[in-house]
Amino acid sequence: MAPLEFYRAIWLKKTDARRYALLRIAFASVILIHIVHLWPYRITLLCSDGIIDPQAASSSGPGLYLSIFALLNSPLAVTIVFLVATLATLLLAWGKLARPMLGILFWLLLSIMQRAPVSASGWDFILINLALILLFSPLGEKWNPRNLLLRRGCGPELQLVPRYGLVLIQLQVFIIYWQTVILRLDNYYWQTGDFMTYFMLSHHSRFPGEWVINWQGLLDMLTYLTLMVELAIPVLLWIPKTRKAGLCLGVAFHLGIAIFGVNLAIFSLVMVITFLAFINPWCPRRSQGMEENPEFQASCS
Amino acid sequence: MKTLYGILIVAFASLCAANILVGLAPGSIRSADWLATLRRTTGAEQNWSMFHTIPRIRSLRLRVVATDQEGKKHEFGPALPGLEEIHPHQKIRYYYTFERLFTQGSESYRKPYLNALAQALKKKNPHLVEFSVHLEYDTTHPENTPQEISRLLERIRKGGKSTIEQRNVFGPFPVKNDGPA
Repeated sequence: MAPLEFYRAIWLKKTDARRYALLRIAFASVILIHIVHLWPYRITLLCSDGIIDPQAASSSGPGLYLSIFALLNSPLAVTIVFLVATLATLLLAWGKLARPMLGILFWLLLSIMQRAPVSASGWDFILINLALILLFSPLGEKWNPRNLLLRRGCGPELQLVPRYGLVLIQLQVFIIYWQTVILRLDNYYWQTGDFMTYFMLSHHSRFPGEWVINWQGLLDMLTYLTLMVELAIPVLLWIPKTRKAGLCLGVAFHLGIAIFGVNLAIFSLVMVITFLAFINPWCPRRSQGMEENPEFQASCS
Repeated sequence: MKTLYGILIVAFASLCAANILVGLAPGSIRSADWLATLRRTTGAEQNWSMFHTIPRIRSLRLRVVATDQEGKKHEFGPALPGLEEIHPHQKIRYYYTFERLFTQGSESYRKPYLNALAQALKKKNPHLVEFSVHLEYDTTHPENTPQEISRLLERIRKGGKSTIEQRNVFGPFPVKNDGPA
Protein backbone atom coordinates (compact mmCIF):
# COMPACT_ATOMS: atom_id res chain seq x y z
CA MET A 1 0.00 0.00 0.00
CA ALA A 2 1.33 3.44 -0.93
CA PRO A 3 2.20 5.65 2.08
CA LEU A 4 -0.51 8.17 1.26
CA GLU A 5 -3.11 5.44 0.90
CA PHE A 6 -1.93 3.90 4.17
CA TYR A 7 -2.20 7.26 5.94
CA ARG A 8 -5.69 7.78 4.52
CA ALA A 9 -6.72 4.32 5.67
CA ILE A 10 -5.62 5.09 9.24
CA TRP A 11 -8.43 7.62 9.48
CA LEU A 12 -10.99 6.55 6.89
CA LYS A 13 -11.15 2.78 7.28
CA LYS A 14 -14.71 1.79 8.08
CA THR A 15 -15.92 0.57 11.42
CA ASP A 16 -19.22 -0.34 13.04
CA ALA A 17 -21.28 2.77 13.94
CA ARG A 18 -22.34 1.04 17.17
CA ARG A 19 -18.84 1.60 18.55
CA TYR A 20 -19.43 5.35 18.34
CA ALA A 21 -22.92 4.94 19.76
CA LEU A 22 -21.54 3.09 22.79
CA LEU A 23 -18.91 5.78 23.32
CA ARG A 24 -21.53 8.52 22.91
CA ILE A 25 -23.82 6.96 25.53
CA ALA A 26 -20.92 6.42 27.95
CA PHE A 27 -19.66 9.97 27.40
CA ALA A 28 -23.13 11.43 28.03
CA SER A 29 -23.42 9.39 31.25
CA VAL A 30 -20.07 10.63 32.55
CA ILE A 31 -20.94 14.24 31.67
CA LEU A 32 -24.16 13.83 33.65
CA ILE A 33 -22.13 12.64 36.67
CA HIS A 34 -19.75 15.57 36.11
CA ILE A 35 -22.66 18.04 36.13
CA VAL A 36 -23.98 16.51 39.38
CA HIS A 37 -20.45 16.87 40.82
CA LEU A 38 -20.27 20.54 39.73
CA TRP A 39 -23.76 21.45 40.95
CA PRO A 40 -22.72 22.52 44.52
CA TYR A 41 -19.94 24.72 43.11
CA ARG A 42 -21.95 26.52 40.46
CA ILE A 43 -22.73 29.67 42.51
CA THR A 44 -19.39 30.08 44.26
CA LEU A 45 -17.20 29.38 41.23
CA LEU A 46 -19.21 30.50 38.20
CA CYS A 47 -21.32 33.50 39.29
CA SER A 48 -20.04 37.06 38.95
CA ASP A 49 -19.98 37.65 42.73
CA GLY A 50 -18.33 34.31 43.47
CA ILE A 51 -14.76 33.46 44.45
CA ILE A 52 -13.23 33.91 41.00
CA ASP A 53 -13.20 37.38 39.50
CA PRO A 54 -14.69 37.34 35.96
CA GLN A 55 -12.14 39.86 34.66
CA ALA A 56 -9.20 37.91 36.05
CA ALA A 57 -10.57 34.77 34.39
CA SER A 58 -11.16 36.41 31.00
CA SER A 59 -7.69 37.92 30.89
CA SER A 60 -5.82 34.97 32.39
CA GLY A 61 -4.31 33.72 29.14
CA PRO A 62 -4.13 34.03 25.38
CA GLY A 63 -6.99 33.07 23.08
CA LEU A 64 -10.65 33.92 22.83
CA TYR A 65 -12.76 33.99 25.96
CA LEU A 66 -15.92 32.15 24.91
CA SER A 67 -17.40 31.32 28.29
CA ILE A 68 -21.17 31.48 28.40
CA PHE A 69 -20.80 32.62 32.01
CA ALA A 70 -19.55 35.99 30.72
CA LEU A 71 -23.17 36.61 29.69
CA LEU A 72 -25.10 34.45 32.12
CA ASN A 73 -23.57 35.02 35.54
CA SER A 74 -26.38 35.33 38.07
CA PRO A 75 -27.23 32.33 40.30
CA LEU A 76 -30.52 31.78 38.45
CA ALA A 77 -28.92 32.01 35.00
CA VAL A 78 -26.08 29.63 35.93
CA THR A 79 -28.61 27.17 37.38
CA ILE A 80 -30.62 27.32 34.13
CA VAL A 81 -27.43 26.65 32.12
CA PHE A 82 -26.82 23.56 34.26
CA LEU A 83 -30.39 22.35 33.78
CA VAL A 84 -30.16 22.83 30.01
CA ALA A 85 -26.86 20.91 30.01
CA THR A 86 -28.49 18.10 31.99
CA LEU A 87 -31.23 17.85 29.38
CA ALA A 88 -28.57 17.89 26.65
CA THR A 89 -26.78 14.88 28.22
CA LEU A 90 -30.05 12.91 28.26
CA LEU A 91 -30.80 13.75 24.62
CA LEU A 92 -27.22 12.97 23.63
CA ALA A 93 -27.40 9.57 25.30
CA TRP A 94 -30.68 8.89 23.52
CA GLY A 95 -29.28 10.01 20.16
CA LYS A 96 -31.78 12.82 19.67
CA LEU A 97 -30.19 15.91 18.06
CA ALA A 98 -26.92 14.33 19.14
CA ARG A 99 -24.52 16.75 17.47
CA PRO A 100 -26.20 19.99 18.63
CA MET A 101 -26.43 18.49 22.14
CA LEU A 102 -22.74 17.62 22.03
CA GLY A 103 -22.09 21.18 20.90
CA ILE A 104 -23.96 22.50 23.94
CA LEU A 105 -21.99 20.22 26.27
CA PHE A 106 -18.67 21.16 24.66
CA TRP A 107 -19.52 24.82 25.18
CA LEU A 108 -20.43 24.12 28.82
CA LEU A 109 -17.11 22.36 29.44
CA LEU A 110 -15.18 25.14 27.70
CA SER A 111 -17.14 27.79 29.60
CA ILE A 112 -16.36 26.21 32.98
CA MET A 113 -12.70 25.79 32.09
CA GLN A 114 -12.35 29.42 30.98
CA ARG A 115 -14.47 30.88 33.79
CA ALA A 116 -12.79 28.96 36.63
CA PRO A 117 -9.34 27.88 35.44
CA VAL A 118 -7.94 27.85 39.00
CA SER A 119 -10.55 25.28 40.00
CA ALA A 120 -9.90 22.87 37.12
CA SER A 121 -9.11 19.23 37.77
CA GLY A 122 -7.35 16.73 35.50
CA TRP A 123 -10.55 15.13 34.28
CA ASP A 124 -11.92 18.49 33.06
CA PHE A 125 -9.14 18.53 30.46
CA ILE A 126 -9.79 14.94 29.42
CA LEU A 127 -13.53 15.52 29.05
CA ILE A 128 -13.13 18.64 26.93
CA ASN A 129 -10.62 16.93 24.63
CA LEU A 130 -12.99 13.98 24.22
CA ALA A 131 -15.89 16.35 23.54
CA LEU A 132 -13.91 18.18 20.86
CA ILE A 133 -13.03 14.91 19.09
CA LEU A 134 -16.58 13.55 19.31
CA LEU A 135 -18.05 16.84 18.10
CA PHE A 136 -16.55 16.17 14.65
CA SER A 137 -16.90 12.37 14.67
CA PRO A 138 -19.70 9.99 13.72
CA LEU A 139 -21.98 9.50 16.72
CA GLY A 140 -24.05 6.45 15.79
CA GLU A 141 -27.10 8.51 16.71
CA LYS A 142 -29.55 5.98 15.30
CA TRP A 143 -28.70 3.75 18.23
CA ASN A 144 -30.03 4.47 21.69
CA PRO A 145 -29.52 2.72 25.06
CA ARG A 146 -32.71 0.73 24.49
CA ASN A 147 -31.85 -0.85 21.16
CA LEU A 148 -28.09 -0.93 21.70
CA LEU A 149 -27.61 -2.01 25.32
CA LEU A 150 -30.96 -3.65 26.18
CA ARG A 151 -31.47 -4.97 22.63
CA ARG A 152 -35.15 -4.08 22.76
CA GLY A 153 -37.22 -2.71 19.94
CA CYS A 154 -36.25 -2.62 16.33
CA GLY A 155 -32.62 -1.53 15.89
CA PRO A 156 -31.49 0.42 12.82
CA GLU A 157 -29.63 -1.21 9.97
CA LEU A 158 -25.93 -1.80 10.50
CA GLN A 159 -23.91 1.15 9.34
CA LEU A 160 -20.20 1.47 8.62
CA VAL A 161 -18.53 4.82 9.29
CA PRO A 162 -14.93 6.15 9.23
CA ARG A 163 -12.94 5.32 12.33
CA TYR A 164 -10.97 8.59 12.72
CA GLY A 165 -12.77 9.64 15.93
CA LEU A 166 -11.88 6.36 17.61
CA VAL A 167 -8.26 6.54 16.41
CA LEU A 168 -7.94 10.09 17.78
CA ILE A 169 -9.27 8.99 21.18
CA GLN A 170 -6.86 6.03 21.15
CA LEU A 171 -4.03 8.45 20.45
CA GLN A 172 -5.24 10.70 23.25
CA VAL A 173 -5.18 7.77 25.68
CA PHE A 174 -1.58 6.99 24.70
CA ILE A 175 -0.50 10.58 25.27
CA ILE A 176 -2.35 10.97 28.59
CA TYR A 177 -0.61 7.94 30.09
CA TRP A 178 2.78 8.40 28.48
CA GLN A 179 3.18 12.11 29.08
CA THR A 180 2.23 11.55 32.71
CA VAL A 181 4.94 8.90 33.07
CA ILE A 182 7.58 10.93 31.21
CA LEU A 183 6.98 13.97 33.44
CA ARG A 184 7.30 11.81 36.55
CA LEU A 185 10.58 10.23 35.54
CA ASP A 186 12.68 13.19 36.69
CA ASN A 187 10.82 13.58 39.98
CA TYR A 188 12.70 12.55 43.12
CA TYR A 189 9.74 10.86 44.83
CA TRP A 190 8.90 8.72 41.82
CA GLN A 191 12.57 7.82 41.36
CA THR A 192 13.00 6.71 44.98
CA GLY A 193 9.64 4.96 45.12
CA ASP A 194 8.46 7.23 47.97
CA PHE A 195 5.51 8.60 45.99
CA MET A 196 2.90 6.08 47.07
CA THR A 197 3.83 6.43 50.77
CA TYR A 198 3.27 10.17 50.59
CA PHE A 199 0.14 9.79 48.51
CA MET A 200 -1.31 7.53 51.20
CA LEU A 201 -0.38 10.09 53.88
CA SER A 202 -2.06 12.94 51.98
CA HIS A 203 -5.63 14.24 51.78
CA HIS A 204 -6.05 12.26 48.55
CA SER A 205 -5.90 9.00 50.52
CA ARG A 206 -9.09 7.33 51.67
CA PHE A 207 -7.25 5.80 54.64
CA PRO A 208 -4.57 8.34 55.61
CA GLY A 209 -2.44 7.55 58.62
CA GLU A 210 0.92 6.48 59.98
CA TRP A 211 0.15 2.83 59.13
CA VAL A 212 1.69 3.39 55.70
CA ILE A 213 5.19 3.51 57.18
CA ASN A 214 4.99 -0.22 58.00
CA TRP A 215 4.12 -0.95 54.37
CA GLN A 216 6.73 1.26 52.77
CA GLY A 217 8.49 -1.60 50.95
CA LEU A 218 5.24 -2.65 49.31
CA LEU A 219 4.28 0.97 48.57
CA ASP A 220 7.70 1.54 46.94
CA MET A 221 6.99 -1.39 44.64
CA LEU A 222 3.51 -0.02 43.93
CA THR A 223 5.06 3.30 42.91
CA TYR A 224 7.18 1.62 40.22
CA LEU A 225 4.33 -0.71 39.29
CA THR A 226 2.08 2.31 38.70
CA LEU A 227 4.53 3.72 36.15
CA MET A 228 4.81 0.36 34.38
CA VAL A 229 1.03 -0.15 34.33
CA GLU A 230 0.48 3.35 32.91
CA LEU A 231 2.98 2.68 30.14
CA ALA A 232 1.46 -0.73 29.41
CA ILE A 233 -2.29 0.04 29.41
CA PRO A 234 -2.49 1.83 26.00
CA VAL A 235 -0.13 -0.66 24.35
CA LEU A 236 -2.09 -3.67 25.64
CA LEU A 237 -5.36 -2.04 24.60
CA TRP A 238 -4.02 -1.29 21.14
CA ILE A 239 -2.81 -4.81 20.29
CA PRO A 240 -5.88 -6.98 19.49
CA LYS A 241 -4.45 -10.10 21.13
CA THR A 242 -3.76 -8.35 24.45
CA ARG A 243 -6.85 -6.12 24.41
CA LYS A 244 -8.75 -8.08 27.04
CA ALA A 245 -5.70 -8.08 29.32
CA GLY A 246 -5.32 -4.31 28.77
CA LEU A 247 -8.97 -3.76 29.55
CA CYS A 248 -8.79 -5.83 32.75
CA LEU A 249 -5.56 -4.13 33.83
CA GLY A 250 -6.88 -0.66 33.04
CA VAL A 251 -10.19 -1.17 34.82
CA ALA A 252 -8.46 -2.75 37.85
CA PHE A 253 -5.93 0.10 37.99
CA HIS A 254 -8.59 2.80 37.92
CA LEU A 255 -10.80 0.90 40.33
CA GLY A 256 -7.81 0.86 42.70
CA ILE A 257 -7.39 4.62 42.29
CA ALA A 258 -11.11 5.18 42.97
CA ILE A 259 -11.04 2.95 46.07
CA PHE A 260 -7.79 4.13 47.67
CA GLY A 261 -8.06 7.74 46.52
CA VAL A 262 -10.63 10.32 47.54
CA ASN A 263 -12.31 12.50 44.92
CA LEU A 264 -10.72 10.54 42.08
CA ALA A 265 -13.70 8.37 41.08
CA ILE A 266 -14.79 10.66 38.22
CA PHE A 267 -11.25 10.75 36.88
CA SER A 268 -11.17 6.94 36.91
CA LEU A 269 -14.55 6.74 35.23
CA VAL A 270 -13.49 9.17 32.50
CA MET A 271 -10.37 7.14 31.78
CA VAL A 272 -12.30 3.87 31.68
CA ILE A 273 -14.75 5.22 29.08
CA THR A 274 -11.84 6.16 26.83
CA PHE A 275 -11.03 2.43 26.68
CA LEU A 276 -14.24 1.98 24.68
CA ALA A 277 -12.44 3.52 21.71
CA PHE A 278 -10.25 0.39 21.58
CA ILE A 279 -12.83 -2.34 21.91
CA ASN A 280 -15.44 -3.63 19.52
CA PRO A 281 -18.01 -5.86 21.21
CA TRP A 282 -19.69 -6.46 17.82
CA CYS A 283 -16.65 -7.79 16.01
CA PRO A 284 -17.80 -11.11 14.50
CA ARG A 285 -15.92 -14.16 15.68
CA ARG A 286 -14.58 -16.88 13.44
CA SER A 287 -17.14 -19.28 14.87
CA GLN A 288 -19.89 -17.04 13.51
CA GLY A 289 -18.62 -17.60 9.98
CA MET A 290 -18.44 -13.92 9.16
CA GLU A 291 -14.79 -13.78 8.16
CA GLU A 292 -15.57 -13.84 4.44
CA ASN A 293 -17.61 -10.67 4.65
CA PRO A 294 -15.15 -7.82 4.00
CA GLU A 295 -17.46 -5.18 5.45
CA PHE A 296 -17.71 -7.01 8.74
CA GLN A 297 -13.99 -7.62 8.75
CA ALA A 298 -13.49 -3.91 8.25
CA SER A 299 -15.67 -3.23 11.24
CA CYS A 300 -13.24 -5.22 13.40
CA SER A 301 -10.32 -2.97 12.56
CA MET B 1 -18.34 15.22 -2.77
CA LYS B 2 -17.24 11.97 -1.16
CA THR B 3 -13.59 12.76 -1.95
CA LEU B 4 -13.90 16.25 -0.49
CA TYR B 5 -15.48 14.79 2.65
CA GLY B 6 -12.57 12.34 2.91
CA ILE B 7 -10.00 15.12 2.50
CA LEU B 8 -11.72 17.22 5.18
CA ILE B 9 -11.76 14.28 7.59
CA VAL B 10 -8.08 13.50 7.01
CA ALA B 11 -7.16 17.19 7.42
CA PHE B 12 -9.16 17.53 10.66
CA ALA B 13 -7.85 14.26 12.06
CA SER B 14 -4.25 15.20 11.17
CA LEU B 15 -4.58 18.56 12.94
CA CYS B 16 -6.08 16.96 16.04
CA ALA B 17 -3.43 14.23 16.04
CA ALA B 18 -0.66 16.84 15.71
CA ASN B 19 -2.08 18.76 18.67
CA ILE B 20 -2.28 15.59 20.77
CA LEU B 21 1.21 14.42 19.79
CA VAL B 22 2.76 17.78 20.65
CA GLY B 23 2.06 16.68 24.22
CA LEU B 24 5.23 14.58 23.97
CA ALA B 25 7.28 17.30 22.24
CA PRO B 26 9.96 19.42 23.99
CA GLY B 27 8.69 22.27 26.18
CA SER B 28 9.58 25.07 23.72
CA ILE B 29 7.25 23.66 21.05
CA ARG B 30 4.60 22.72 23.62
CA SER B 31 4.47 26.25 25.00
CA ALA B 32 4.50 28.19 21.69
CA ASP B 33 2.24 31.27 21.86
CA TRP B 34 0.13 30.45 18.81
CA LEU B 35 -0.49 26.93 20.11
CA ALA B 36 -1.43 28.19 23.57
CA THR B 37 -3.88 30.65 21.95
CA LEU B 38 -5.47 27.94 19.84
CA ARG B 39 -5.66 25.51 22.74
CA ARG B 40 -7.22 27.97 25.16
CA THR B 41 -9.83 28.96 22.59
CA THR B 42 -10.78 25.35 21.87
CA GLY B 43 -10.05 23.86 25.29
CA ALA B 44 -7.71 21.34 23.65
CA GLU B 45 -4.85 21.71 26.13
CA GLN B 46 -2.51 18.77 26.50
CA ASN B 47 -0.93 19.01 29.92
CA TRP B 48 -1.06 15.64 31.59
CA SER B 49 0.94 16.25 34.75
CA MET B 50 -1.34 14.44 37.19
CA PHE B 51 0.55 13.65 40.40
CA HIS B 52 3.91 14.47 38.85
CA THR B 53 5.13 15.00 42.42
CA ILE B 54 3.88 14.08 45.89
CA PRO B 55 0.78 15.70 47.39
CA ARG B 56 2.04 17.34 50.58
CA ILE B 57 -1.15 18.39 52.31
CA ARG B 58 -3.18 16.14 54.64
CA SER B 59 -5.86 18.69 55.43
CA LEU B 60 -6.61 22.31 54.65
CA ARG B 61 -8.77 24.72 56.65
CA LEU B 62 -9.66 28.28 55.71
CA ARG B 63 -11.12 30.96 57.94
CA VAL B 64 -11.82 34.63 57.51
CA VAL B 65 -11.32 36.45 60.81
CA ALA B 66 -12.72 39.98 60.97
CA THR B 67 -12.49 42.55 63.75
CA ASP B 68 -15.19 45.10 64.57
CA GLN B 69 -14.81 48.65 65.89
CA GLU B 70 -14.68 47.39 69.50
CA GLY B 71 -11.92 44.89 68.75
CA LYS B 72 -14.21 41.87 68.90
CA LYS B 73 -13.35 39.07 66.52
CA HIS B 74 -15.87 37.47 64.16
CA GLU B 75 -15.26 34.33 62.11
CA PHE B 76 -16.61 33.61 58.63
CA GLY B 77 -16.15 31.10 55.88
CA PRO B 78 -14.14 32.00 52.76
CA ALA B 79 -16.76 31.12 50.12
CA LEU B 80 -18.40 33.92 48.18
CA PRO B 81 -20.95 35.43 47.84
CA GLY B 82 -22.35 34.37 51.23
CA LEU B 83 -19.14 33.83 53.31
CA GLU B 84 -20.11 30.19 53.85
CA GLU B 85 -17.71 27.66 55.35
CA ILE B 86 -16.07 25.24 52.95
CA HIS B 87 -14.77 21.72 53.39
CA PRO B 88 -11.91 21.22 50.92
CA HIS B 89 -11.56 17.52 51.73
CA GLN B 90 -15.12 16.74 50.66
CA LYS B 91 -15.30 19.38 47.95
CA ILE B 92 -12.05 18.91 46.07
CA ARG B 93 -12.51 21.93 43.79
CA TYR B 94 -12.34 24.25 46.79
CA TYR B 95 -9.04 22.65 47.66
CA TYR B 96 -7.69 23.29 44.12
CA THR B 97 -9.13 26.81 44.08
CA PHE B 98 -7.74 28.04 47.39
CA GLU B 99 -4.43 26.20 47.07
CA ARG B 100 -3.88 27.95 43.71
CA LEU B 101 -5.35 31.27 44.87
CA PHE B 102 -2.87 31.56 47.73
CA THR B 103 0.27 30.41 45.96
CA GLN B 104 2.75 32.75 44.32
CA GLY B 105 1.82 33.85 40.82
CA SER B 106 -1.92 33.95 41.46
CA GLU B 107 -2.08 37.62 42.50
CA SER B 108 -4.38 38.43 39.57
CA TYR B 109 -7.00 36.15 41.16
CA ARG B 110 -6.13 36.76 44.82
CA LYS B 111 -6.44 40.57 44.81
CA PRO B 112 -9.97 40.68 43.34
CA TYR B 113 -10.97 37.84 45.70
CA LEU B 114 -9.80 39.86 48.71
CA ASN B 115 -11.65 42.91 47.35
CA ALA B 116 -14.84 40.90 46.99
CA LEU B 117 -14.32 39.46 50.48
CA ALA B 118 -14.01 42.98 51.94
CA GLN B 119 -17.27 44.00 50.28
CA ALA B 120 -19.09 40.84 51.38
CA LEU B 121 -17.94 41.43 54.99
CA LYS B 122 -19.12 45.04 54.90
CA LYS B 123 -22.50 43.87 53.63
CA LYS B 124 -22.70 41.22 56.35
CA ASN B 125 -21.72 43.49 59.22
CA PRO B 126 -21.15 47.24 58.67
CA HIS B 127 -19.27 47.50 62.02
CA LEU B 128 -16.35 45.36 60.86
CA VAL B 129 -13.14 47.30 60.26
CA GLU B 130 -10.51 44.80 59.18
CA PHE B 131 -10.07 41.16 58.29
CA SER B 132 -7.47 38.52 57.55
CA VAL B 133 -7.57 35.16 55.80
CA HIS B 134 -6.17 32.23 57.78
CA LEU B 135 -4.91 29.18 55.93
CA GLU B 136 -4.19 26.29 58.25
CA TYR B 137 -2.93 23.04 56.87
CA ASP B 138 -1.34 19.82 57.98
CA THR B 139 1.51 19.00 55.67
CA THR B 140 3.66 15.92 55.51
CA HIS B 141 6.60 18.00 54.48
CA PRO B 142 6.95 21.76 54.78
CA GLU B 143 10.26 22.00 52.93
CA ASN B 144 10.82 20.65 49.47
CA THR B 145 14.07 18.80 50.05
CA PRO B 146 14.65 15.07 49.84
CA GLN B 147 16.77 15.04 53.01
CA GLU B 148 13.92 16.45 55.03
CA ILE B 149 11.61 13.85 53.58
CA SER B 150 13.73 10.93 54.70
CA ARG B 151 14.04 12.44 58.16
CA LEU B 152 10.27 12.83 58.26
CA LEU B 153 9.71 9.17 57.46
CA GLU B 154 12.29 8.27 60.13
CA ARG B 155 10.45 10.43 62.63
CA ILE B 156 7.14 8.73 61.86
CA ARG B 157 8.80 5.34 62.34
CA LYS B 158 9.94 6.46 65.80
CA GLY B 159 6.35 7.31 66.72
CA GLY B 160 6.24 10.95 65.69
CA LYS B 161 3.41 12.71 63.87
CA SER B 162 3.23 12.29 60.12
CA THR B 163 2.20 15.86 59.52
CA ILE B 164 3.26 19.28 60.70
CA GLU B 165 0.70 22.03 61.19
CA GLN B 166 1.40 25.24 59.32
CA ARG B 167 -0.46 28.54 59.40
CA ASN B 168 -0.36 31.32 56.85
CA VAL B 169 -2.17 34.54 57.59
CA PHE B 170 -2.94 36.99 54.78
CA GLY B 171 -3.82 40.44 56.05
CA PRO B 172 -5.03 42.39 57.91
CA PHE B 173 -6.97 44.20 55.20
CA PRO B 174 -9.48 47.01 55.75
CA VAL B 175 -13.18 46.18 55.39
CA LYS B 176 -14.63 48.74 53.02
CA ASN B 177 -16.90 48.90 50.02
CA ASP B 178 -14.11 49.00 47.47
CA GLY B 179 -12.10 46.30 49.27
CA PRO B 180 -8.48 46.28 50.52
CA ALA B 181 -6.02 48.67 48.88
